Amino acid sequence: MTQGITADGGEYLRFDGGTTEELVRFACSAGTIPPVLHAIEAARVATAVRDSLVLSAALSGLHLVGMTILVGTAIVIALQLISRAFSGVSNAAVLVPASRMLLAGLSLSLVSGLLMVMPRASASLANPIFQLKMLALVAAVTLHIVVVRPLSRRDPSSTRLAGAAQVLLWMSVAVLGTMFTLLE
Amino acid sequence: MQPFLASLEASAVGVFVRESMWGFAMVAGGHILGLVLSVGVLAWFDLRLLGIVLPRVPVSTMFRRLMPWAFAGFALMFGTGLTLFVAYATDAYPNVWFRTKLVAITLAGANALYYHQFTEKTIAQWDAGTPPTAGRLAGACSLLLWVGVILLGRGMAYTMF
Repeated sequence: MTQGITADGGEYLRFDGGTTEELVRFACSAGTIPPVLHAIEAARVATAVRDSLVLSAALSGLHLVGMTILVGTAIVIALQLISRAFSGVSNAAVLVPASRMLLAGLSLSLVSGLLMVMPRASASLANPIFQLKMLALVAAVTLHIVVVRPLSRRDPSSTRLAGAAQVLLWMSVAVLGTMFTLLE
Repeated sequence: MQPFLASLEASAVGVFVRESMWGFAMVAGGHILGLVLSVGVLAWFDLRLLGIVLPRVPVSTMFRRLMPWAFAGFALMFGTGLTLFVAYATDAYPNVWFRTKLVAITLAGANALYYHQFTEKTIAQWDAGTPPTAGRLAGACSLLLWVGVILLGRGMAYTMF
């Protein structure tokens, strides 16, 4: 790192190359990364993910498996709540296992997603697509807990809107996640 | 083989995917969305075969309700997958992750075919209950193979792009 004075009298800091860890330390000292995010990005687990292609690919794969479980389950819930597709069983018979599946998919996606974001926490949190994804995720989880899960004993005519809203929200999480990865 | 792969890459589709601003993002995004849709819904059918979810819903009802969504997802996934291969044929062809992924997809297809050609023939006897060992095995193999396809696909993406 080189410190100096520019031609118009201002101060500058220059990164002269080095490891990613040194780059993060530099960005923090230059004030471009808040200290908390720096601590996250410099954590040993974050460095391990950043430096390992195999680990990154495995986490990305597990994240996608989690997302697959979430979207598939959201479609099953929608089919039941919108059209009683699985005739002969109550909404509860679908919603109870579906909630467990959502929890499994969410746990897998959250843990793998957290580990993938840690090495680039500051860039991810500043990304508007990532922010929208997090917003859609919070909305989808809240809708499931507050509205969808308690619909166990209602008939389909009063559950259509919730069924459609939840599948749209979970699909949005998947679409935004894909866009975030591809456009980053 | 190499000239053929190069000609695929030089085609209008290949050039569009590689060089246009949104081409790659649109096709790769469609590929991933087709995957989460098809495999996500298929997983529920597989879990029903295993007797883990919705044991009181007939297997035939599960198939009828879920498969249109799975087929739509598969169509999107295979269409975009083929387009991606055209655009990156010379890199994809020798990629070991890609080759293993193709083997896993073929095995998943053979597993589905075997289930529909043989195991499903006796469905009247177990439709509303627990499928026989062959049915449960088909569900377990399908789940394992598709998870494998997802992981191999990510391995391919990380070693190619």
